[in-house]
Amino acid sequence: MMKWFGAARFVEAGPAAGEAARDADASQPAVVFGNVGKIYAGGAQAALAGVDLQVARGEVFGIIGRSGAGKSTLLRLVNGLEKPTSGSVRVNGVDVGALDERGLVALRRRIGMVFQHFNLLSAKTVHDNIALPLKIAGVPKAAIEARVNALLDLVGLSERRDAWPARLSGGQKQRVGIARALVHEPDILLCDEATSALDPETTRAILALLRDINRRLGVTIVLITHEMEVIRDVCDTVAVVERGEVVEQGPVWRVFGDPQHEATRALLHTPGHELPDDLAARIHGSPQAGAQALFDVRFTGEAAQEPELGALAQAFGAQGVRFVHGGIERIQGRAQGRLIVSAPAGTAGEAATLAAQARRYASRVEVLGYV
Amino acid sequence: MSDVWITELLEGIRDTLLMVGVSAVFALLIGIPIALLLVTTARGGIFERPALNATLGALVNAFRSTPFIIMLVALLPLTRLLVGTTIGVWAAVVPLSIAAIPFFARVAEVSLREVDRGLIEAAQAMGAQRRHIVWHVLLPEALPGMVGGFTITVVAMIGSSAMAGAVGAGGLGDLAIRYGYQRFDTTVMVTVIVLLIAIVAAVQFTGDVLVRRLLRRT
Repeated sequence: MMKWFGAARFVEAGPAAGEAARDADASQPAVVFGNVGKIYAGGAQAALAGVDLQVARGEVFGIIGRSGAGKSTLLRLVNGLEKPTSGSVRVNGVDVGALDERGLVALRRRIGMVFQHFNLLSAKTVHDNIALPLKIAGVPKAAIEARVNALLDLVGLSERRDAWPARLSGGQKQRVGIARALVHEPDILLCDEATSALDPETTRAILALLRDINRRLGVTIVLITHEMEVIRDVCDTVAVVERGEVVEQGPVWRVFGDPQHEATRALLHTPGHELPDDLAARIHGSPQAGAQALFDVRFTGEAAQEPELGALAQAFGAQGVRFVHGGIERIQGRAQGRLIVSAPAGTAGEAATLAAQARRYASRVEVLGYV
Repeated sequence: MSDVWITELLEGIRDTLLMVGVSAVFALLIGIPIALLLVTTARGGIFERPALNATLGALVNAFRSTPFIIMLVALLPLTRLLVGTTIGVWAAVVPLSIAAIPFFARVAEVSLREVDRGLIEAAQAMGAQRRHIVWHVLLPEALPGMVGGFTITVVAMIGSSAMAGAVGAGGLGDLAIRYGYQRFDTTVMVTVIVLLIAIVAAVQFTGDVLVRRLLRRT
């Protein structure tokens, strides 16, 4: 177990459950969901059904879904704020559902949590909010001071130490929330829509801080969000949740580059995933003499390739090839996206030949129609 | 205005402040634990016990719905048992406290229930036990509301203390009834009313200042 900021560990190991959590080895997954189901009392529908997930140690794992899809429940199962109706949730090898209150308290001191609405205590200063988890764990005062100061430094709020939370901006409040969540030197950090109440600029700053915490301190992060930008910017792995089920999961670049499920496509909604209205209005299914064929050229990032424009233009016949719409972005170092290209093609056969040639330079090429 | 009357007036002020003050302390010390029980044992609370909650709620309601003047009489045996007499300031403390406790408990309950559930969840997530949640989350977060509620309670108690005066408890109410009502002495009546207004205003002002100071942090 690494030491943070050079400060020695001062929280003594708790009872058996906490002990097991602490000695988790690095190869073991941080969190394992095994066929988890959750039905709320009085709820007609299952909030979660048959969820299998594995969160690897040290990764940033994103769970994305529409509101009400069950992501919040999923996250709360990790630290035992909710109990599964069926199946099991294991954190560092410990079955969370089987823990008693003592065991849960020990586990929760290994797992930090950050909230959408920050949930800071209004009657305590910034310092006292961050110190509270240690105070209730019975940590000596001097150790609390050292730790709180180190964390204020980490989140860049040393000057606001004695401020009341109400006097802080949203971004500052979330920094306090993050500092509080990290004060026990957790292995796992849970983020419940941590940036959803923040403006875009602050969101980027908070995401950068989370990424930094993940890289520098090796903390496994599980976050839920409904914003695909959050997943794209910080996550390694993503799971898409829809109506209580995980419909798609994998490395972010793959899920983004080649979404399989309808829900994923709806959430992604990236530029270029739909045909612009004016083209959609003009397009028709059969070629005419002198018509232009529209091609949908996709790059899924699978082969770590950047679109080779010269070769692509050659493949489409070089003359009169136009780049009509689309874009490429880099996710986890892989170029991916979609280009809509028009090229002269008088017949369907001609268009199919061009598409076949272009396939050598792209992940997928389809004829959309003719304009 | 005779000197005798001035002495009685001063004694009246002292007795009113004494019986309201002592009863208010009881209301605070017993009302807050009852309010905490009402909130934490409710469905979804941190010590969820629906049966206990319903019983306690019914008990509180029973005391709240009994008019004070009737409770004053009905509690006479209990007062005699506890204080040894049924007249005087200390005898008035028993019914005043018993009327104020459930009143304040309900007022404090509202403030405690308004504490954001997210704060309780955050405390649970940081590994807080339930007693920590009560001490570090519920009580401090509800404090401004409870101070405001306590002010309302004390003001209501000043009103009730005048009724206690009717059964020989002393205090300003007693004075007003004996001189103002029974002897048609308007001067006494008006003086007592002005004094009561001043006391209530002072209590309200103090409460407001405290609440404002507490809210400055939010």
